[in-house]
Amino acid sequence: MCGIFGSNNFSKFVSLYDINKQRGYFSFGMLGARKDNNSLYIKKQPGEINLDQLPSHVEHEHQLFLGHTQAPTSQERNYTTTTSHPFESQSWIIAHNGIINNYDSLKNEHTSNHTNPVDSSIIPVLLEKNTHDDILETLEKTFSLIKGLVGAWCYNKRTGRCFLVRMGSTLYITNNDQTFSSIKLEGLKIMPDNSIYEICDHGIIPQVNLQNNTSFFTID
Amino acid sequence: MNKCVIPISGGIDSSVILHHVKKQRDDIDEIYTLTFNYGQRHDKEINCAIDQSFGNVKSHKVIDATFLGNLFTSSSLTNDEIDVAKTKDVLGDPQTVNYVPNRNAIILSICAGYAESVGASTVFHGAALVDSEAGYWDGSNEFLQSINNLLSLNRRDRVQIEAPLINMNKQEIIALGVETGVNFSDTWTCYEGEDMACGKCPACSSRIKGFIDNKLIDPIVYSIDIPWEDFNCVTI
Repeated sequence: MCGIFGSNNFSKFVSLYDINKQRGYFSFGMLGARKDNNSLYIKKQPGEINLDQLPSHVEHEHQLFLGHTQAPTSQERNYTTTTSHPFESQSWIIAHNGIINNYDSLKNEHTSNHTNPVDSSIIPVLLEKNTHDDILETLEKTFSLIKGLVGAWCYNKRTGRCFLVRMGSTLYITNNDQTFSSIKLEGLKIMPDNSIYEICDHGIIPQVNLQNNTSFFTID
Repeated sequence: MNKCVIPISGGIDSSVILHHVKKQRDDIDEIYTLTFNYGQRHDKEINCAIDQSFGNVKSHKVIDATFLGNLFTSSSLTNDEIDVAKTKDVLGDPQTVNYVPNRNAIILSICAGYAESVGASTVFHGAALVDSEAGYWDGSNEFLQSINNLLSLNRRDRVQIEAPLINMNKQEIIALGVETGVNFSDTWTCYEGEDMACGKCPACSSRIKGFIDNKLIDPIVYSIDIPWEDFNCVTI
């Protein structure tokens, strides 16, 4: 399991990385996105990263920064880009914190030759397979199939829309900007469990309620 | 004569394994159980382990391993100065403060040694699917495979660790417990060492969910209201 975090402010993103590092030093992954959805910056690397040493255009040309820190909780112990977050498909880029209990059955029932050993890799595949005109329906159908723990960001490359999903895994968000984190910080509130939120210009807003597919009963 | 060793904590998983082996494993003739007092704050579970073992096993021993509590001060379960982490605060965390360092490897190593000495070839390990979700690497399939690889180096008295619940969710485990006659009143799961279960720690949360998914009311008492009726749960 891992940490996910993000912000529209690069300095804040760097601070969030420092905090979320404690959830996984194994590898780092990020996506930088522009408001006009014209170009994306994806970075993956093993171990830690010094974000101050990224090319300056990353900070200046992008308006949304989404990150992931990975702990080696899957069977995969050797770093490769294909087994590291974020995972990408034709239309989606995603990063996930949690564990997918029904990964094997999802692979067998919904894909023909998915061989990636990391459970999170199935999410963009399912999003493609469940593509619907209504993007919220695509997300709802996909995450309703998943049993286990999910904290995830899902960026749609076609529309530039970005969503947060929480099923079990902790995820904290702000009301008034685009900051979120797996780790609780001052000014962040817990995102309601079993829900999908969208990161918009004016904040992070609720979009879909999901059924409880986790192994835990929680009372807030 | 086939013998086995079961480390029984007094929680649901090991109690279900004990009853499952006793009633459904015709290949096992004698059961030996061990319970570990490792300084856990929820030592109430030890009395439950004694109750569960009574009349069901050839031998039950409570092992004084309280020295572990003095050594493993990083865990909320063995250090009263650290609060038990609640489910809503830690789910998805790769290793929570509730994790007891290397506990399962230590317990299973002792059980494997005990198994050798009493002529048992199997140790039953209570790992369940939810353990991996709750952040315990020593409850995972990979851990099971690895510890069996280690034990397979034994040149004469080979002991195998079996974890029959490792791919089962709490709903399935509780259903198996009902089928095999587990008295759930005599099981204890909560990490807190209070008279009533807290209902908020990961252990309570998965237990409650398992009962709800079976449409059953958990017979133990919780310190918070659990809305059993909202889920149409009935008494066992």
